[in-house]
Amino acid sequence: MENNFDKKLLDKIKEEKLSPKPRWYFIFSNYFFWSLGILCLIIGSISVSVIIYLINNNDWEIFSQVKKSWTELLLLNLPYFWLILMLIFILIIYYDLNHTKRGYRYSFLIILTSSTLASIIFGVLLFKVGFSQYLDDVLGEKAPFYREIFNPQMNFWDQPKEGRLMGLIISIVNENNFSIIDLKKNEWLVNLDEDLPYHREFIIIGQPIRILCDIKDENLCNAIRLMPLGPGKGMFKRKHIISEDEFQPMPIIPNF
Amino acid sequence: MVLNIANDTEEIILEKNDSELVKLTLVNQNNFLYIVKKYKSKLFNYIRKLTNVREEEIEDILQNIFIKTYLNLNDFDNNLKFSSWIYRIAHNEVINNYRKIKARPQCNYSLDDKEILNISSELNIEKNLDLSLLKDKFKSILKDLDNKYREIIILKYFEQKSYEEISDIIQRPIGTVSSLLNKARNEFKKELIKQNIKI
Repeated sequence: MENNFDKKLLDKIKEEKLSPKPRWYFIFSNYFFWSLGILCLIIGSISVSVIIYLINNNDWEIFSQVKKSWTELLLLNLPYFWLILMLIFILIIYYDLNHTKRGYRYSFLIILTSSTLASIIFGVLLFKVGFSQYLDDVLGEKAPFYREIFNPQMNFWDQPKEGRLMGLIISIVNENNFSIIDLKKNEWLVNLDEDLPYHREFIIIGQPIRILCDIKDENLCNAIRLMPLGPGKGMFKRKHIISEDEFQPMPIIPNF
Repeated sequence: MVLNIANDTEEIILEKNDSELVKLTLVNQNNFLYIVKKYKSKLFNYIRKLTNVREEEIEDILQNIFIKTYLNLNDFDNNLKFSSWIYRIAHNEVINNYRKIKARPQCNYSLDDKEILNISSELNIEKNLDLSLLKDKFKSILKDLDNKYREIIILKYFEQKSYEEISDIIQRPIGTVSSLLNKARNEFKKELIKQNIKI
């Protein structure tokens, strides 16, 4: 090697006035990657909490009453957006940890497993404190493409021809009849069969509801099963779907 | 405490460990030369085996490595061996220069007897074989070996790095280093068999 390598190197450092980058630059950079990792973990946990909320409100037991295969039902109801969001952020955590000082020492599998577990634990906590329900309500009320992106269950329950109806109770006619308005602003009269054991406690004006039914006539449905609407109920707060004047002036909660 | 090397002799400074040399360099940039002196030849040989390019080009790469080392001195983590850290910079610099290096003509380098004996014993190669023949065979096999296998063999058997040090240099988990080294050994053995070397 050239004898003057050292001298050339030192001359270059001096001529170009090079100096070591300040310590705070590296401290900041390290904190940046850790903060990004924590942020990703929070977003991953939020995704998990919403997935739990959506799955928890899926009422799997009624699927036997729906004429579809389990695979088909699963594919129609999986919360793809949240699952993909969770996976993306777990992968970002892996990429991010590799940029911290010691992150490279952990294998992909260890990081994947631990960040998934951490997301699940924090996700369950967020679900338990009701954050996922709050977030879903806000998104339902305000987010564009909510039913297309955030909650596929909305499309599943908006299929009157297949006997699945979703709407907001706008009036109660009598003990066995009430009317609802769906997301397309169609009004439906719901008929309850006296012989069927319904849970009636949520038949209240202003309550979003899901109904498994037989469509007998245009805008007339015979309910087989009634369930309150959980995820997606925020959509019924949107002004273009229903305004206050559309409720009938009959705020009667019948004593069934 | 203000560190001042003005009165220190060169011998005393050279006896200092790497962390102390880093501290001294941060006080006075001239002290960086002691780091350069300590690692220049080691890194030169490492890059030469890794890239097989001309001496002038190795010097260019080496200069970039030392400049990056100097610029990032404040990022040096005392929990890490300085040698692992500077080898990591070298590893990254070689990767950055990979396209350039690949396009250039290759030249010869020499392997010393100790290196040959070390890898021969690790791979259980027959002991009575002619060393100069083995050197040629090894160089030819190394040249054709996949980059990731070549580097890990060089680090383990020629640079005598531990698994932990290799992990810190190539920034992969120790388990990955171990499996990579296993695969590299197998590839190396396969090539030896092809070249009629008994193992």
